[in-house]
Amino acid sequence: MIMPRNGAGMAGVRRGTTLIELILAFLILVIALLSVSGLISFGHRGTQKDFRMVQGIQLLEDTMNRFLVASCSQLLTALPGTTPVTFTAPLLGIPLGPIRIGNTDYAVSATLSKQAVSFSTRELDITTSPPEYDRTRPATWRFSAATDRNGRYDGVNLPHRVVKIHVIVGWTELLHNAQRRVEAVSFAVDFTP
Amino acid sequence: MNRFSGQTTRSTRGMALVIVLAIATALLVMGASYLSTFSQSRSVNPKILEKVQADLLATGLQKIALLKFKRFPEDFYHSCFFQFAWDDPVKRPALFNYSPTPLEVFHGDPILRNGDAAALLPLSVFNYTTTYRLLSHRAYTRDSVEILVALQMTRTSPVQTYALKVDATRITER
Repeated sequence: MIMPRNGAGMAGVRRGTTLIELILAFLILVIALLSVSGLISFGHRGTQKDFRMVQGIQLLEDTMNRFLVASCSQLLTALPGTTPVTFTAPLLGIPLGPIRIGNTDYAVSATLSKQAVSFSTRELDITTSPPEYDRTRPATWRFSAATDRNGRYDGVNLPHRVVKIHVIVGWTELLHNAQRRVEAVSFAVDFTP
Repeated sequence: MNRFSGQTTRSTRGMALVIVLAIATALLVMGASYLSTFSQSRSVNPKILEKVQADLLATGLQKIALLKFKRFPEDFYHSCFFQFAWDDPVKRPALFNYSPTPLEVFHGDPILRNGDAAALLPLSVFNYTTTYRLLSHRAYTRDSVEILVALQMTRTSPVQTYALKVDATRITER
């Protein structure tokens, strides 16, 4: 009689071991898949969040560019005093207020204010220049001290010409209801004579 | 025969575990690389916002600088010509010594040179300067004036330079 080296139960033991191996392998595979799917889901949520952020930034840029090409004199007219005014409804054809892009609701607002600016220069002072003053020879020029007397656009000495524009784009993240916002500041200038 | 079969079984024993571990490792590597890509894209976003904020702010500052040029063209030209002579070592000894020079005063307004933080609120800008350059300066002919805004949003941000060129014609005095 020829006996197997490991006895009569050898074949049964081999089959049982294979089954355990398969179960173990399947468990490991399931655990790995679960963790990887969680990872992918986390990444997907992050990508969606980034996408909303990029849309918000594009909306911010678009709104501010519309303000920068708008008539500044009309913007100044829309501001009765020197206190900042916040607009949440369309102004001069610029869309403001709630704007829906895809499945995200954005709230766009703009705060405008008259910005006082003053410019200093050294003026060419012909009265104190030497008698041999020659407009083509800088050696004969004399300048005044730095002064802003002719460059104060503050609404008192000269009318306001600069409008400060502050645009805010806000939205709510679907997860956790987190409030997000992006903002930018720029200036519009009235160049009319 | 049995001996031969037994050897084959022993050599393949545990192969399923090895294969599954290999697959799981591959999946983990793919997931890790995905997460890595995602984390990199997240770090780019604040830079995009910063760039947009810098672009828009620089455009506004250039407009303010242009308002000054349009208000004081004579002072600008006199300042530039004086500066050209001042930068010439032959001509400099004959010049009156101004400190700051007329051109430095022209560049030095707070709103154009990071000196009026309240005007930029709620933005916080690390540093910016505005300078004017007269690119062609043949006396009493056409000129090109360049307004340069160099802006750095944060201490670690790169300095971004924005140029605005304006064609200007000077009319000869009669």
